[in-house]
Amino acid sequence: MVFFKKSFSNQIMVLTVVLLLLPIAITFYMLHVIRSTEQSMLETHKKNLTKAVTFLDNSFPSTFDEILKKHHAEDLTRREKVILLNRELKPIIDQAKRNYPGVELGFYSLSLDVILDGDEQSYGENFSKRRKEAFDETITKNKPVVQVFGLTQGGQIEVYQPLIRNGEVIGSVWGTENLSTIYRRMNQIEVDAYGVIILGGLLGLGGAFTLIARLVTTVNQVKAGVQKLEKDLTYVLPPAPGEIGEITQAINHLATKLINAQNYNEIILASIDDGILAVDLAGNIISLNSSAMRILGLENSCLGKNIVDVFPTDSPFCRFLQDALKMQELVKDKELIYPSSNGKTLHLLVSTNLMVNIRQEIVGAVLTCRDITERTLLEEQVRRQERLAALGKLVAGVAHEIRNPLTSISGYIQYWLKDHLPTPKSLQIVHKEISRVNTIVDKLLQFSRPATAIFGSHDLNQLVRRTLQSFKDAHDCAVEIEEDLATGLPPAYMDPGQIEQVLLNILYNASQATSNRGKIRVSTAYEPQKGMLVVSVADNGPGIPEEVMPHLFEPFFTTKPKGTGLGLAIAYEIMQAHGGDIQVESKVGQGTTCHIYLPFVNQNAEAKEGQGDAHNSCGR
Amino acid sequence: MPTILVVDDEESVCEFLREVCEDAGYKVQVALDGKEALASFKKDPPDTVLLDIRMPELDGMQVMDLIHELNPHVPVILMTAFGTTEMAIEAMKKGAFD
Repeated sequence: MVFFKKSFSNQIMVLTVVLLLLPIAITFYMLHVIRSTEQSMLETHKKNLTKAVTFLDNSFPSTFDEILKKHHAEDLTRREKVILLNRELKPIIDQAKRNYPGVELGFYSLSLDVILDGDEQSYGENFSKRRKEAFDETITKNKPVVQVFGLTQGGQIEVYQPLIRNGEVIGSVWGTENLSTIYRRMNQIEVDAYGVIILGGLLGLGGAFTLIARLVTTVNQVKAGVQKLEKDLTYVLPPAPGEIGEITQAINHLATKLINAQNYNEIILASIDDGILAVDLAGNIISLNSSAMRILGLENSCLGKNIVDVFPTDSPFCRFLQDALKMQELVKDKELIYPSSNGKTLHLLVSTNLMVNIRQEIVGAVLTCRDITERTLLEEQVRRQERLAALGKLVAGVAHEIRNPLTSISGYIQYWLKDHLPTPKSLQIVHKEISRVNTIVDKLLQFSRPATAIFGSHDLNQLVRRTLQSFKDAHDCAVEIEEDLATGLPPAYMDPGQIEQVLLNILYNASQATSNRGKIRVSTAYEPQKGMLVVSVADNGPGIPEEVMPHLFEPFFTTKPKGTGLGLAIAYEIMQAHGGDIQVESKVGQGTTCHIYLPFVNQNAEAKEGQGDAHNSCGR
Repeated sequence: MPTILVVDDEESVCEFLREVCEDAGYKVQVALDGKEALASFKKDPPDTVLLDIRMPELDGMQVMDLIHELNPHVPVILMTAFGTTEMAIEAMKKGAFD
């Protein structure tokens, strides 16, 4: 059967209505037809019978008495009269019967109270009360009487008409017809009709059920197919007729698209080096890429399982995901040392995030972990190399620095050994050089073991002013020093002696740069980006060339002929120990600015704000 | 009296050499860096130059080349606390006297 291109539900409705109403309508119609057929048949036979009776009436012009008179039978016994009358009437009755086959006809004599049907053998006296009543009725009422009897009562039609001669009712003419055969035939037709109706109904219903069943089967097939599809996206739904077929086709296309998308997604996930683990709201693993399996020691079979079942009880990954799901607490780039399945210890960078769908609902959480073991190792190596290089440079620098004075000392001594007398001048030079060596050794010691700092809460501006004063006192240079100290700064957390040392060093550098005729601007402020206090010393000297900048804080690096090259190196170490920082901005022709950053004391809390971990292993 | 130009960034070395050379009867000119050395050389050309190799800005080798531009025949003796054979060879190649 083909479904026409109409709305599906309308089709069903139309079908239902048709299937229900049609047989009902047909049934009623058939019943009506049968009834009216019966009616008309009865009418026909009634008319026929009436005509027959009338015919008989008309074929008998005289009266019973006349016949008796004709045969001089007035004095015969009643029975003899009846026989006689029957004999006389028989031809008329037979004639009438011949004209109207199937009909019983006869007369009824009122005076004799007897049926005369032309049969000499019967006396017509034994007739039912009913007939008597019918005769009486037709005679007294002077009207024809029609009686119809159904199949159960014999299936007869009886017509009684008054027999009127000379204005007087002398009896009745009657006719009967047995319709039982006809009735039976009609019944048969009725039965047949009912049969047909029922058959039709059954067929219709059967057809309807079949169609519906087919429809339901198709729908169930599609349903089963879709359920199969849920488990296996490559399953192709078999074609179906009509609109359902279009649905299955659309579903198949959708499945293909899903497969493609899934494939892409899977390929993408598999290509990412970071491990990606996604769980749904209940904590069941919904996605797990190969990197995650490798890093976390999981397998494909873990898909679908809950994280509490897959990870050991105290696993941080479990905890991170649960925190994310339950409290929306996320971790970002958290470093984690994790023993991996093959015994190696991995250094991981872990982040969690919530998964949110288009409708802004949380549907799960995802954990990414990056294996930075190698990177950390490399970083360590680099740092070690750098340290070694710095150390190497340091050693070379020290060696060089010490050798210089030793050259002249040794030279003089050799000279004196060759029978020359040491002059006071030369002795002084040797003395000076020896002091120099001592100074270098001192500075070196200071550099390698900086004096233990005593930290405390101190007013920064006060320290700056004090330092500037002692600087001015120590170096009466022609440099103009401008102060711009911010007010309302919280106290700094520092060792004032060490910071003074740093500041003096910077000021000295600045004054050297401006060669005693420039301007130095000293300012204090709060630097919000770093969350620390900052002291800035800006000079309008020549600036520092780009190639020199990376070496500024290297020990023994100096551009000054007489410098030890340790000043800034020591300053750097001091700032590190304070948990602060030192930075230099400079451009050739635009002067130099040196910033030192210090943590401040939060007056509302006990903890120190902005204090980095001075012993941070990931270190500066 | 022959003059010697002593060039070294270490003042103590210069002073030491000055004492020794003067005692040996030479007139000594002292320069603390390459620029000073060249200026002195032009002003009062010495007979010999004692030149420290390792100096800031203009190093010994460069100074020697510049001096030889002015007077290729002046003997230049290079001094260093860092003597390596390679350096010696290179210095000799470049025309150092010793």
